[in-house]
Amino acid sequence: MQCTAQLDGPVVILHLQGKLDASSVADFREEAQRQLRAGHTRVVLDLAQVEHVDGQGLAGLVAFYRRLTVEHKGRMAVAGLNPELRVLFDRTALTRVMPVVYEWQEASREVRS
Amino acid sequence: MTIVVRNDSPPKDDGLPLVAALIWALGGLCSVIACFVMLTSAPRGVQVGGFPWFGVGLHLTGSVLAYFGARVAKGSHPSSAGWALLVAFFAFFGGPLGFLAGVACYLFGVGQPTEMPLVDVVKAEMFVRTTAHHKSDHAGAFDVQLREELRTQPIVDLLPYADVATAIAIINKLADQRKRGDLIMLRELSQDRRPEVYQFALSRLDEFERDYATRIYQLKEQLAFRHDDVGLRVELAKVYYDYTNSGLLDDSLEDYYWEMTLAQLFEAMRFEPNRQDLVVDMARLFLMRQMYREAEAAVEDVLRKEPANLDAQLLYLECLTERAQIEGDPGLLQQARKRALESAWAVKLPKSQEQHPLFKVAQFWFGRGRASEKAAPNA
Repeated sequence: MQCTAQLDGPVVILHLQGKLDASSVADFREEAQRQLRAGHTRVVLDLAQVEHVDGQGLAGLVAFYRRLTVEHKGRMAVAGLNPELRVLFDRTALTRVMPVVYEWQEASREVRS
Repeated sequence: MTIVVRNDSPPKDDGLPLVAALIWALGGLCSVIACFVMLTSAPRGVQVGGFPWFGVGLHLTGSVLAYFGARVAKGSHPSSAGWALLVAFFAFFGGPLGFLAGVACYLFGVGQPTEMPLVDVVKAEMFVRTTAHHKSDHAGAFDVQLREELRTQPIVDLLPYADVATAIAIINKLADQRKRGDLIMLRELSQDRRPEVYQFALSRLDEFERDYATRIYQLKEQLAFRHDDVGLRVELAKVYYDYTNSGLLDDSLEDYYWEMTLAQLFEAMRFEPNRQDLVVDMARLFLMRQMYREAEAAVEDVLRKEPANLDAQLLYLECLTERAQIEGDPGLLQQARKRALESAWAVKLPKSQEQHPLFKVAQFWFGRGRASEKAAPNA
């Protein structure tokens, strides 16, 4: 899995690519931790290029969300879900739990406000 | 349990012997010719050739050759007779096509494993051993209880002044109670300077660690074979949850196992999206890690779908009361109280306290006051 960071003002956009599963969630965790250490507390996760997410990957996302919002008082939004991921997020009720929008630009605006 | 290594000769699956192939070829030829002879014999009403004894003979020969072919192919293996009878049965009742089918069955069937590989046997043995009841094996000298006069005092007060015997008795008591706070205290005792105390505390902690590790190992092993078994995933999530809450773990490890619990729940939800109890469990995990609003959102989602879900109702109240304490907002407590009163209908009464159906009918037709008079005139 590839994870590239892009700054959009005070918001950091993490563009994920590939599969987010048990084998690759550690990469995501490492990159997310790096962003937290750098002091970025407004984060958008762009999952438009992500093909597949399993339970471990989702748990990694939620754990990062918790670290960001509870421990660092930050904000996070998820963007760019493909139909398969959308169904997964609906099934796991995560669409209710964290902000989910269509495009990262919109998510960036939401996180910034 | 012991492993018995059998000395049986392994099944012959290293190719078909040439002799067997020749016998089968001959048998197949006989079967084809027999079929041809019988099909081209004179029709029923014509008394020219009589009964085709030659064809029948060839057919029987083909079946017998099919039998012997399989016997030769399998050699002295115990399954040889069974395979030979199967192939002969196919050849006898199916003619040339049956012959081919029988041989095909044999060729595809002999390669399949019929016995448990040794690795699986060892794993199974480990499973049996680990599921067997574990008896504590510490020496009798350590099997001490708190003295009578100390039992009324809180353990926290005893700890700083406890001599070795009392400390060991405290360790036993804490290990028997096995609540989160007890195990945290037990971990503190494992930092004691006295070797008898810290070693005994560590040994008791190790028992619990081993218990959890064993259960997790067993469930993971089962999941390797039954990947989509939701029950197993939920069971594993429960063990992870208990482990996270046990008090045995450091903060960082608690985070790790919290994430593991969540991962198993998500996997279970992927397979069974309509199980709202899993969402409630997820919300409980959120609540455990101070994600109050997220827990509320998840529970509200459940209540939209299942308004009578009592677990969800209670968890929602728990979220509100905890958030009220954390945020110091008494309005949330009022909201929780109001919510509790509004949702009281979701609590099912015990059977003994339920109104009789006739009472409900009477209430419907005659109104509350008259119904109570009619239903219980002598009360």
